[in-house]
Amino acid sequence: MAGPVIRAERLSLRHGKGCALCHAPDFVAETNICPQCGTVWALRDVSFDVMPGEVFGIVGESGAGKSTLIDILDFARDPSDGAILYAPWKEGLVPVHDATAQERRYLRSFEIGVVHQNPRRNLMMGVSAGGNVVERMLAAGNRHIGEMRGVAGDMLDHMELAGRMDLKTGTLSMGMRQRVQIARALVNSPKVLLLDEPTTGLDLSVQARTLDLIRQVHRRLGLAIILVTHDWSVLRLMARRAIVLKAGRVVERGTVAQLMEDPQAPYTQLLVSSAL
Amino acid sequence: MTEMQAQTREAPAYPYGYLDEFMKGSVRVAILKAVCIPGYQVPYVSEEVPIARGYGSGGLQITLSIIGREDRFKVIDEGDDETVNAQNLRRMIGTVTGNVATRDPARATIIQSRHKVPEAPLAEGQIVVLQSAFPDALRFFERSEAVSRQMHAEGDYAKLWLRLYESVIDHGEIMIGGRYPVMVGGRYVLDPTHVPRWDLPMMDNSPALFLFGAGREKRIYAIPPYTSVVPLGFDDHPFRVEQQEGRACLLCQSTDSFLAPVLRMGGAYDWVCSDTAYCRARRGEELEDAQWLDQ
Repeated sequence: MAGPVIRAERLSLRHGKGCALCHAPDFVAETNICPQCGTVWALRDVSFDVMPGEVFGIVGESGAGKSTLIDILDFARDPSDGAILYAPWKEGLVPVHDATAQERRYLRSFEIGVVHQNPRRNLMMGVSAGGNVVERMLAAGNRHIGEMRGVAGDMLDHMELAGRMDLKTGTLSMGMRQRVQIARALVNSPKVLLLDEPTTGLDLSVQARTLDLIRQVHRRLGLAIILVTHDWSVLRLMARRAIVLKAGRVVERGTVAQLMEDPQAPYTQLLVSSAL
Repeated sequence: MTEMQAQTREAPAYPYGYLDEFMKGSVRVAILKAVCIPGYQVPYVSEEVPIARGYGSGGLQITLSIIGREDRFKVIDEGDDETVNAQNLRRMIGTVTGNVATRDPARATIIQSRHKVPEAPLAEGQIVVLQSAFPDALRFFERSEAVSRQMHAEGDYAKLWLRLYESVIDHGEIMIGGRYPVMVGGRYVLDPTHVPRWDLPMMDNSPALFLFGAGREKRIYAIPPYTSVVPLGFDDHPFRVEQQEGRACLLCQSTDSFLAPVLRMGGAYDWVCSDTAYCRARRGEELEDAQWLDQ
């Protein structure tokens, strides 16, 4: 496959109607709130391509729109303007907003895996760790418990959760929950994995192990990963290319090495210097 | 005294079947829609009836809306004709219609039931009205009505299966007694009310029409005649009815009907047929008709 897996085309998400001032294409503001009408532009004209087998980074400070972007890529919400085009679904790049609810559900079940920053968004805490993984296979139509337990057990073993399959997810530690999430996201072998700050809030040794696991999976399955983070060391370890978001806009794009060694935008310079 | 008040005085206290024609009409429209879309929960205007919500008001509204002068009805409560709930509903329906009540399921055209389907085989033309407490099988894990309707529309039943999976993991088999989820017509999963698992195979491809009324939740749903009803189950942990090996009815020695426990002095259980009419018929007793007065 030569073309990109996912293409975002001028994605915008605004809360409010907007006015003549902030709808103008050359509108620039220091924050993402329009000074005239108060409309919040959570995202504005965000475009990027993700190639197959690539780890693509999205960096930015708190409130920059990173998680909003993940929500849009995961169909949890629709953009106000712009489109997401998705390749492995039909022939060529197809905009997913034309998709029916069933097609979206198919995409979410089989083509896209998502790991949220907060495991509670993905996992049912009253259900066993294995059950959370098995649920994706049930959605895919598998009706054989022994078979599903085999696959989910292997998956959790890979995530270093051997023997914890039948414990309730709520009794697991934060790091374990995060790894259950990753197992759940990967069990239907998706083509794209969305990682929203997968290691934030974990202690350093768990962080390193989790990232290592993700890298192993990436090597083994060759899927495209979109990695959202505010941590430059994570980004340097994992990603090749990245975009920098500020107040909902892309302020800089390039390879991670470029961004770190030779940041052009003042905001990127600030981010890099504060990280080092 | 105005003319209107005078008319009200002279008019009978209530029309045939208690409900007025407009109310009956709205319930019938919902029933027709429910029959057209097997398993789909049709919202309707659940009107006031002189019993409390949760005591079978949904089933009563259906019965009163579909009953005609020639109908013979039967009311059962967990298989029993003589419980307080069954007697009161029978007296109520009899009072407002004057129709003949029966205890014989074969002669009844309308069987209003709470939590039990009669053991005797049903025939074409019969209607079983089941009182439903919770119409939505997804309510266990989805509190939002809007979301669960969306899940029904998309056929998104993975969480329902997950509940069965968790039950197998925790207990070694599917430990769901009442409200066992069933797939109707290969499309919608519905809540078959608190009937025992034993009754679910009787609903599959039954010649009778099943109507479910949830008065408090304001929903009507249906299983039309000759519609497939498949209880959910796994390939390696299939659906099973209650296991009754080594038990027989204390009164009629039946082993092929659903048995209910009766606590004996000393803590042991005896087992008797849950369906009392079936038990009496097996013992050769006459299942009499009754005018609405039982005594």
